[in-house]
Amino acid sequence: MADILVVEDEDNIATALDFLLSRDGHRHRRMATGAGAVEEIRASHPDLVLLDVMLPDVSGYQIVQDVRADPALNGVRVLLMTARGSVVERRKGMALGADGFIAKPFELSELRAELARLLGG
Amino acid sequence: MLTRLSLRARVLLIFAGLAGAVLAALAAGLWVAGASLAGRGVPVQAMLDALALAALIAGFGALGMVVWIWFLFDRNLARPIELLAGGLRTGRPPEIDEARYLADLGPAARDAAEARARSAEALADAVAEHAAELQREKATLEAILADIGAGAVMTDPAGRVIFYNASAAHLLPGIALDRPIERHLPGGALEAGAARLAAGAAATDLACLTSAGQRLWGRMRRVDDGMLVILRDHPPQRPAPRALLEVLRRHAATLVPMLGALEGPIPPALAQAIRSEGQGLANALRELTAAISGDAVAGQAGLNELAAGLDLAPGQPRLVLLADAAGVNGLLRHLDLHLREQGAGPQLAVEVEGSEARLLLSWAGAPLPMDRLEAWLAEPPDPAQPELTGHEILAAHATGIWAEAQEGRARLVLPLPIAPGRPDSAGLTYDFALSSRGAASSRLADLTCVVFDTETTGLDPATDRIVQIAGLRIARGRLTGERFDTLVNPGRPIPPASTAVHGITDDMVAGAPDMTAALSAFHHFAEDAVLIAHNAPFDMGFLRRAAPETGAHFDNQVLDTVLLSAMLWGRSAPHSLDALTERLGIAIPPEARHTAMGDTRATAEAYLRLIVALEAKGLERFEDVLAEARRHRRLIDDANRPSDSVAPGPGPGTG
Repeated sequence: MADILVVEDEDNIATALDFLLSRDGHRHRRMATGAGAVEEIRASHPDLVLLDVMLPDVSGYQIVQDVRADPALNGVRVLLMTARGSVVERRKGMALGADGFIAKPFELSELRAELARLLGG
Repeated sequence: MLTRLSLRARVLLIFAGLAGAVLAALAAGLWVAGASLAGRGVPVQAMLDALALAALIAGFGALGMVVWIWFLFDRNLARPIELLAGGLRTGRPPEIDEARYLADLGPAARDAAEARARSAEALADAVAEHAAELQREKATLEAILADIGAGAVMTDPAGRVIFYNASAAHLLPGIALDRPIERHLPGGALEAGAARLAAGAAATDLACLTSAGQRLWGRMRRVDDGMLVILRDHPPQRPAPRALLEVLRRHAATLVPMLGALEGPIPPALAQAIRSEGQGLANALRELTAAISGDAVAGQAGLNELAAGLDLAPGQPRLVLLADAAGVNGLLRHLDLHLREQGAGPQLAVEVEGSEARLLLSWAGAPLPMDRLEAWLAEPPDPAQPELTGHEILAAHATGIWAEAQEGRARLVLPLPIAPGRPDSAGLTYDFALSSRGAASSRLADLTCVVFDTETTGLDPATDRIVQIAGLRIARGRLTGERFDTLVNPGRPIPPASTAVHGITDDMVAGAPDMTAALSAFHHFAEDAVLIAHNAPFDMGFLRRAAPETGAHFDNQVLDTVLLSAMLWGRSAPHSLDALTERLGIAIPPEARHTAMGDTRATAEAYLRLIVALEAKGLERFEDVLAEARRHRRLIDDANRPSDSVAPGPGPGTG
């Protein structure tokens, strides 16, 4: 299955995502901070980054911007997650180059649908 | 009885009587002469020949003289007197050559009219000065009410509308001066509010349903024996989302004890319950977020206000946005300053898409890192207001800002909604004098009227169709400022001959409403009003012929300015709209002639001057005019009788 990098500072959500992604058979690993995330993406070239917007050090928007500025990372899909679910937050994320956006709290079916859409199946 | 006849008709009768009397005297003379000659033994045949010849010469001579004197009298006295009288009533005595036989009457009438015109002019100047002052006050009031963003309606003691603003027109479609407000807000809410005010409250809250079923909230206050009602389409203060908090509390309260079960194997029913409660919690949270996220600001700001102090790219559209000018301008200048410190030379431009404008601060160079932008947004643009950060300003506008790169240039993007256009130009519509003019009556000066005009594809209501319709409302003898003006798609090509008259082409009506939509809207506009048109049978013919198709039945009472003109100037004077307006001193700009609104305005102004003259002639009430109109029926159709036979208009849609 797909290779997914989860960038999420909240342990409980990370645990839930770990459980759900494992159950669906995805290979995944987690980073708890934004610092070094772009380097990690460059190094491991995951299929998809599940990226929290509100990280304590570097914002998720900054990471999207950096990933999209690097043509070598064109194939990496970025799915943003945020608790601020306003329409403008979604537009902002998409304008910066994210491939998808889900607002917390999200339901498993929503996450699955977005993953399926972005991973092509 | 003779006083009901016109002067000219009476003169004609007098001369006819005179001719009859002369002939009778002649006949009597001949009879006496015949009797006398017969007594002297004159042969009968010779006597009859001589007398017949004498009778023929004397009879025709006398008759010719009477007719000649009548003709001179009619042309030089009766007709000029009638024209002068009609002119004097409207304040404009005509220049009549024949009036020279009226000795000093013609010049005296002109002098009197000129003196009247001078005093009217002085009065008009004073009124204009006063009106300019009112206009300034109106602009101030309008600005204040525009900022309130709420609908405001004022009524007279009888509950009829005497004031409303553009927001009220938006909330209560079809609102018009002099109509009962209860028609728009049925269901007793107003009555209950009025009862609370009568019980001593200075003002009271109001929650009501409009006739269209929309819920409105507002406040009601007694003003000058009438009511002032302020209306909004949302509650004045957002109530605390208690119900949603209660839902959250219930889900959490159910969920927490269930969590104890996670330590062991979970029975399917319990798992289902946990799932259901968790989903309920998430849904309630989403609803709560939507409920407490702020409305977009109600303030409006022009693009030039937002761009003050910034380098605005040339050729930007003139836009008004829903934004707090000071806040957004401060934020943009704050970002501009930071960018310039970094060596960028940002320029402001705007992109419009639908109802949204995207403000773009762009420069040649690399895009701004989002973390740097976020840091700038965390600062207050105005150090005097440290709590008002860029993030706060954006949150108050329910918007955000981000960095992009486009065609080698970097830019910051800030979307803001474009302010919705206000209906018509009239921000405020009012006539406070309505309340002081007492109850409505059938006096012409008290009627609520809609003056209207149609432009059509041709002259035959049976086969031709309307391409434009315009109307102006008059309440109690004054134009209210409420207007109706629409092109109509006739659903068929417009003949070039008609386009030559009114200038309306197929392209112009391609996107216009069809007859049903346009006439239904006009029916709404004209409800309860007396319809007035110049050559009304023509226009009414089109409206009534269209009824089976559109469902809009125009059962209104009708006045025809052609008939009113005939009542004042007699049948012989020309009654075209051009002739009538010229007689009344009303100027129609040539480019407005034969446009529905131009002709409507001319007809409305003519009507307002005609009713003064009609009153002077004793025709004060609608029923008086109707009775008088019956007498002119032979000349012109009475448009109050639905009829299939329609007098032809002077040109396509010029009725």
